[in-house]
Amino acid sequence: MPASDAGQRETPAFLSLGVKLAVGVAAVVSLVSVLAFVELTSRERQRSLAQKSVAARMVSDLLAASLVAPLDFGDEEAIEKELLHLASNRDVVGARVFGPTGQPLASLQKAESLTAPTAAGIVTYDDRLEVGQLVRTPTGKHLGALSIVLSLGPENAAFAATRQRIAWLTLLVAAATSTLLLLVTRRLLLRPLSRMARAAARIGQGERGVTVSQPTADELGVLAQAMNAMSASIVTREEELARTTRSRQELLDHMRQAIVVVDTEGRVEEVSSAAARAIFGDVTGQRLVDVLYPGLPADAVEVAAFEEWRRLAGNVDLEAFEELRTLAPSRVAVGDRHLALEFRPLDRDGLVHKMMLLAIDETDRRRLEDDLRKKEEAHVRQLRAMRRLLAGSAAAFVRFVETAGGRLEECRQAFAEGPLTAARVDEIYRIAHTVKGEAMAFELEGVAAEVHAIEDVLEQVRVAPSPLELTAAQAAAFAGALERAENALRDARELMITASPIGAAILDQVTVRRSELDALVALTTDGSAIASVVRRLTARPFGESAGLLAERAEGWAASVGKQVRLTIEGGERPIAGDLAARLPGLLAQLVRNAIVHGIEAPDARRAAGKAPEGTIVVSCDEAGVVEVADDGAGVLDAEPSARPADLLAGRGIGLRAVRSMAMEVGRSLEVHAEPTRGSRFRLVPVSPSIAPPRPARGSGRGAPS
Amino acid sequence: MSKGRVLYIDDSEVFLERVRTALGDAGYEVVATTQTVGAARHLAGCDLVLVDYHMPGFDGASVLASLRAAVEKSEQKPSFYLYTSNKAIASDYSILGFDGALQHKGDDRALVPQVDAAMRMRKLRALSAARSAGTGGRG
Repeated sequence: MPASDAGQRETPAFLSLGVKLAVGVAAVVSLVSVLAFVELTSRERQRSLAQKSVAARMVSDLLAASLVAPLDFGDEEAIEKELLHLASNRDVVGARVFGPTGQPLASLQKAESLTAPTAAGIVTYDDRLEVGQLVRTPTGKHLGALSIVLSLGPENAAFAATRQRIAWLTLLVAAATSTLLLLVTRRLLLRPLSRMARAAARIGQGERGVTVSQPTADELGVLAQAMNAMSASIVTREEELARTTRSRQELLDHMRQAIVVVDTEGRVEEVSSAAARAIFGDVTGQRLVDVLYPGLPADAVEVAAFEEWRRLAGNVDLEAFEELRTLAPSRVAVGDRHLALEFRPLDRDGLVHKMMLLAIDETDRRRLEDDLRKKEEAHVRQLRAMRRLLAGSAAAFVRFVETAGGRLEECRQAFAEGPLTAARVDEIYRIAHTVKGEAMAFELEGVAAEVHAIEDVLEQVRVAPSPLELTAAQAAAFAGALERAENALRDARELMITASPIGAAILDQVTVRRSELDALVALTTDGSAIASVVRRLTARPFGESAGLLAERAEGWAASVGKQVRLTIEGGERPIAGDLAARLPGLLAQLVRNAIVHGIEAPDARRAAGKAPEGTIVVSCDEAGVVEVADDGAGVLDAEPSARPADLLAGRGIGLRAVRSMAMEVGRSLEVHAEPTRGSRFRLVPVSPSIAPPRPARGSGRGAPS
Repeated sequence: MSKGRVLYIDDSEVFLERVRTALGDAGYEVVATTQTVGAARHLAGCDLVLVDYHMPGFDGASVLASLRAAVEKSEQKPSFYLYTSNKAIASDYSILGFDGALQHKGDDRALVPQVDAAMRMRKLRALSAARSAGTGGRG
């Protein structure tokens, strides 16, 4: 029979082992008692009959002896007398004497049915004994026979009484034996078994530390010891299991992932970790699609795509699941939380029957990234605005930064000096308003906003009765806004320096009319002390000539599928005015050559073990040497070629043109190339770095301007 | 590596730029055009076409019809989705002949997960069709 059929058998009704034993003992004892009763009564009966037979034999022998003479002589009267002697015996119910031929000679009482015996013997009936006896002379002559009937009434009555006693005695012995057996069985077997059964039931109900006391050295004792060992083993295993479960739960709870188990119908079976409970709550039994996309309608594309994926991914083999894994949603926003999702299969017999969702809360990281991105965008925006600003009117902006700082300091001092009057508040307000207006003109929204906050405080003060009394909150608000405005201005100053191609030198620039400078140059004599000062006056910061390259280089590189980062070093160093006028064109040519011929495409750079983004450094050192260095392939485009015209790299004029241009401003071009490591193009002065002013165009001296 | 090519057709250049930026930042190759006439020339290699429903002189359905006619002979047909804030129209996407509708929620970043889902749905449908045809998939 299959195991399942066997398992479906009905459990038989409980029947106590005690009852079974009692029935068994009763049956056995009853059987034994009946057998004993029968045996005893039988023996008693036999003994009683034997005694009666002996007595009957004695009576018949005596009668036979007394009848020898009467029968030998045919004295019937004497025969009858002898018979009459028997009448006094109350056990004799009848007797008859027969002659030698068997004819009845005399009878006593009920003897008509008796016949002449042919041999001596006793026939036993239930109620009587019939004794047959032959009468012979001492010589053996057959004289006749006699039959005596003796009643068994007294014996039967005595036997009945005896049998009753035996019955009672047997019954008593049986009852006592049964009781004793049951008591002993109950004490030695049933009670221990019951205790063990109860203990087993308690263990089954989950009670821990259950033990059974059975000190006997027998099978029950062994069974009890085995049971106690089993109970202790269960406790140990439960503790181990509990520890394992606790460890697993702690592991799950300490994992950052929210772990949720889902069946193939998409319902949440288990919320397995603390993170999951924190993110989703108790969503057991809910559809996962409702958990991941709360509030979205069923026809929303996210919901439809998830359900389609779940339908395809359920009940497939693991290999097919791997193919589908990439089509599961990898990110989802649940409320304010951003979650990264990963689905893993749980298989049975190689088929996916459940799925485990691991979700990581990326909200904080996303928020941080968003903040960083916004700040970076804001910085880039401000930097570009500042560059535009500097390109237009750098000197004006530098003056604003300086004067605005002074004005804010004025506000601080005016606010701190003695009791406030309406006139002083108006004065502070006017100063602040001027700073705000100028800040807005220069698109410094941060500065303007903080100065506006100062104005707000002053507005509140202005409506107060005179003398003006500031509340602590107003004073604190004013001081806070002022400090923030100063900080914002300081940031703008730093940003300006960062954005300036000549760095901090921007703060030390003045605007001078070139015609006046030319006039001054014309008045100086070469080699004189004043000529040296004038030469420095006509000099320009290197960064001024190189400043625009940084942004343009990215665009040039992008147009040929490359990536480039250009940095400028030594932007504040002075270079001669004539060189400053030619340098932008020279540098642009060198940088474009480096991009087209030097810097490799991103894939080629990766293959060469380089960063995909190439680096170009445009620098000016203390000796006035201008250098364009790249980390490209170290391949030069030194001479004209038959290559088609290229808007970026020119028409192949290449370095020869650069060299020619450089010579015009007293520079020689040095080229150093190292294959795979890059190239360096150096414009080296052939005369002092800040060359003496040459005659201006028209006047025969100075550089064209 | 691009996550896919998306053609977006809208009469608003502002929306075009915002969608281009949002999807471009998310890794999609985006072709955005206000030109309903001739938009079909951008269809080659497109995985997804997003169409604004209300455009001057056109409606999404007529644009869709012309685009579908253009890709009729193409082997790989893109998925066509409405991009609208009008829920009533969105719910009728099937009647209008679109494969689905993306909700215009005001926040362009909300478009990205919808486009992601539409791309997944496109691949899942292809996979499902392949299985039904008995040419792919297991289990």
